[in-house]
Order: sequence, then C-alpha cells, then structure tokens
Amino acid sequence: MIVLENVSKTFAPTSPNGRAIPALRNISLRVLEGEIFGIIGKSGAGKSTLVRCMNALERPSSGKVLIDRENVTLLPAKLLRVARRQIGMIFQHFHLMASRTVYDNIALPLEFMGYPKHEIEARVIPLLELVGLTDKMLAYPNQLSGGQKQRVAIARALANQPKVLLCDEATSALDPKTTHAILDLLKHINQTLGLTVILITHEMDVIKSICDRVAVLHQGTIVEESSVLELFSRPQSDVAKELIKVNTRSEMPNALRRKMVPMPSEQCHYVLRLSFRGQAAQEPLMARVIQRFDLTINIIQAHLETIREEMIGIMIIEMVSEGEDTIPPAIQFLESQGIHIEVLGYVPRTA
Amino acid sequence: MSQELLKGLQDTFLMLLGAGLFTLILGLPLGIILALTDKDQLLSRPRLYKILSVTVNTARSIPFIIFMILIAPITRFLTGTTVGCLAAVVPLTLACVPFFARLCENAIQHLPRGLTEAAESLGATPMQIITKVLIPEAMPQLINAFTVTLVHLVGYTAISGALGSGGLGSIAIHKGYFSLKTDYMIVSVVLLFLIVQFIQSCGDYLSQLKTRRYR
Repeated sequence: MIVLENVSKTFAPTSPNGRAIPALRNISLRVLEGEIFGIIGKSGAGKSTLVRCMNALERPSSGKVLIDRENVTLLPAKLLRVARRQIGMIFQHFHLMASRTVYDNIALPLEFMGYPKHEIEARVIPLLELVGLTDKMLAYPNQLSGGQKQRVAIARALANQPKVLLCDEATSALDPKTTHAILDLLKHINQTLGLTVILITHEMDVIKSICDRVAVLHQGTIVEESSVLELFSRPQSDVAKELIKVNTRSEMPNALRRKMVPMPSEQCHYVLRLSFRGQAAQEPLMARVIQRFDLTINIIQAHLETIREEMIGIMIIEMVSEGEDTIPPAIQFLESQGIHIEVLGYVPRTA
Repeated sequence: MSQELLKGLQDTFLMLLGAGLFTLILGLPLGIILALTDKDQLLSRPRLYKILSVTVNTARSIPFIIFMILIAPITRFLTGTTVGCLAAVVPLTLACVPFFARLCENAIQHLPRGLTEAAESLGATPMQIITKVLIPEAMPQLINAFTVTLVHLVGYTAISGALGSGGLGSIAIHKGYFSLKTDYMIVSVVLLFLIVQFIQSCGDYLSQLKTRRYR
C-alpha cells in the first residue's frame, strides 16, 4: 500500500552560515494494505517529517514515496491534490476550523470537491454516527473536549473516503482514557473500512494497544522494524529497549546495578532479562531449570503483559550457580525453549 | 452655517465610502498575497514578497500630506483634477491600501500554520484555502483591521482638507482656524469624533457578532 524507497530529507540551513539539517536518512519501508503500522521514536527522531513525506506536505530531498503504486513525490500540484484525497491525515492539535460547526468542518473536504449540498449531507451524517458525535453536529470546536475534537478531525479526514489514514501524534494531546477511546475508534475504522493506518507516536502504550507492526525511528533512520510482539519480546536496538523499559518499568534496583560489572569472572552471578511469549509463558520452566542445573534464582522483577491477545512475560533475574559453572548451559536450555535472553551484567561472587 | 456643514459632512462621507471601498478591494488581496508569499508559507515567493514588502513600507513611511502632493499627477490622470472630494479618493486609497494590507497580512499570518496544512492534506487548491479557510478563520481580525483603517481614513480626509478636498476637515481648517470661527471648528471636530465613534462601534459589533458564536 505504502512503499518508501531510500527516502532522505535534508532541511536547508536556517541561517546563511548554518549547516543543513538531515532529518531523514535513507528510509525504506513497506506498509501493507489494511494494517495498522506504528512509527515510534523520541522527539526529534524525524517521525513527523516522515509521515509528512507520505502525503507530500514535505517533499523528500531524494527517494520515492509510493502510495498505491503511485509516486507522490513527482506529482504536479493538480494530480497531487487528487492523490491526497486517498490519504487522510489527523494531527496532534486537530487543526479544526473554529468558525465552522462540527457538521461544516466535516463537510469542508466535500466542499473542496464541489459536491452539491444534499450529497454532502448524505456523506456527513453517517460519518457523524461513525465517530459518535451526531448530537454535537451544530456545536463549534471550542465547545468540545480534546477527544471530541479529534473525533471531528477523524471524520473530516474520512470524508474523502481515503485508503490510508496518517495519524501524526494524534493522541499526544489527550489524557490516557481519551487516548484509548480514540485508539479504539481507529481500530474500529481499520476493521470496518479496511483502512490502512499509519500511526506516529512517542508512546509505546499506543503502539502496544493497536499496532500490527512497528518501526523504530532514531536520528532519522529506522533502527528496527518488526511485529509489535517481536519488539516487546526481543527488542534489538538500544532505542527500542529504552522505549520498552519506560513502558514496562523493567528496571533494576540501584543497589544491584552498582554491583554489576560488564565482564564475567570466576563463579559470578548472572543478571538476565528474560522475555517469553505464548506457550512458554504458561510452563513452569523456571522450576525445571532450577532442578536440572542446580541453580538458585533470585527474581528481581517480573510481569506479564497482554499485547494483541498474546501474553508476553518479562523477567529480570539473578542466577546463582551453587557448584560448578552451570549457568551457560542453563541459558542455552532456556533459549532452546523459546525464551529470549539478554545478559544485563555480572555480579562478582565476593561482592 | 448648517448648509456648509451639511455639505462638509456629505463630502467626508463620500471620501470615506469611496476610499474605504477601494481600500478593501485592493488591500485585502494585497494583504493575502503578502501573507502567503513570505518564506515557508503556502505560495512562498521570497523575492516577490521582498519587492511588495519594500513598496508597502515606502508608501507607509511618507507623511500623508506629502504623499498627496507626490501622487498628484496620478490623481490628475485618473480623475482629471486634484481638487474636490472625488479626486481625494485617489491619494486616500493609495495611502490606506498599504496600511490595511499589512494589517490583513498580520491577521492571516497569525492563524495556526496547521490549518493550511490540514486543508492541503484534504486536497484543497490554494484559492480554496484562501476563500474557505483563511478568510473565514481570520474574519474577526480582518473586520478589526478594516475598522482601524477606516478610523485612520477619517484622519486622512481631514488632512486632505488642507489641500482642497473639501469635507469636515477642510471646514475646520479653513473656516475654524484661518477665519477664526471657533464655532465651525468645534462643530466639525465634534462631527468627526462622532463619525469615528460610529465606525468603531460598528466594527466592534460586527467582529463580535462573528466570534460570539464560537469563542
């Protein structure tokens, strides 16, 4: 549905002697039809620039952006306007017209198309129902809450019956409860209308609740791209690990952190981060490991999480071997059972 | 006395009406062009913006009474004369257009940039963005801008009275000041005051009529 090939964007320097600012470097991405694709990154990572390239609000410096096999980067203004009707967009700050009622805000794109009044009405009324604002249709945006404003913006973006919906930090100005209501609405639209949704956010919670796949953006490059489940159970990049840590609070106590060293020594303890999903989460693997390898396990932190109806367990443990060094084979065993293990550090015996 | 004042009042109204109308017709588009051709705006043309901007600044920096003399040839070309209230409409308009255009530019540029982007993402043409988004959204500020311009214009009509345009200003200057008839002076100044009050009240009412519903 959406294909990005080697997209780069460099902003011209703001002052004559200033340096050009690279915002995106060689981004290649493939979003499938009907999926909810998340793009996560910290602020300044280039998320907004990336999503704005997708409907050519920003023209990439190089590379291709294909929407439904059409290269939007090369389109002349007139054809670009036609292409943009296939791509709805919602924003963090909604950008509704204060001088228009809810009804008239949703009617705006249809007025741009030059539709007659009765046809506009025939389209706007079902959209009002879809977003649950039929009773507010004559209200002005300033009389609405943030969540309601975003619903109006969603209805407005859908008025052209687009195939893709771009969401640029669409829930970042909303409280957690409203955020979930809006995400549910997006999910509902995705399922009922088969709309492809691109979601830009800095909140892992948003990704966790509705995305199918996710790309992690850092300093203008994609450092990781995987299914959401995969990202949570075995994050590869440091940025992803950090973002997940914030989300799942998988942090170590400071007392332990201070004792840790990066290299193993004779008979040291291991500090491990385990993540397991699905079947593995339901088996008493820990007990078996303890018996089989004669180990002591100190659970520092553990919690279960349900992502897209699948369970993911994340655990931080300290593994102490009593006799000979049985830890490496134990790790091997756990990995063979489908558990993802990351060695966080070592604690020397004497410490 | 009442005959003369009535004539003066009529001339002042004619000048306000004529110059006001032309200022609106010429100043609003110029203001929109200024707002949209500035860099990073919808129709960014930095060089055109620079030229327009310098022209507007130049026109605004010349004191009105001198401006009126300077453009006398243009006035004569357009109206065939340089005296009378009809001829005065030309310099009055040309002096007010840059002022009003700047205020319009300001009103449009203070709208959130995201509004334009949202409209673009919905497939709007630049013309549709101007007529269906920018002007309606900036309407209260545009009405205020026009009110301020009209009040300014009242002052200019009085100055133009010194150079033979007629109107209340002319009566105040020629009868009231040069002929030392204080009563003429007082009445014409009071009338000018009332006109300004009237314009300001109308402007405030209209701009609030727009915003009361949604602010």
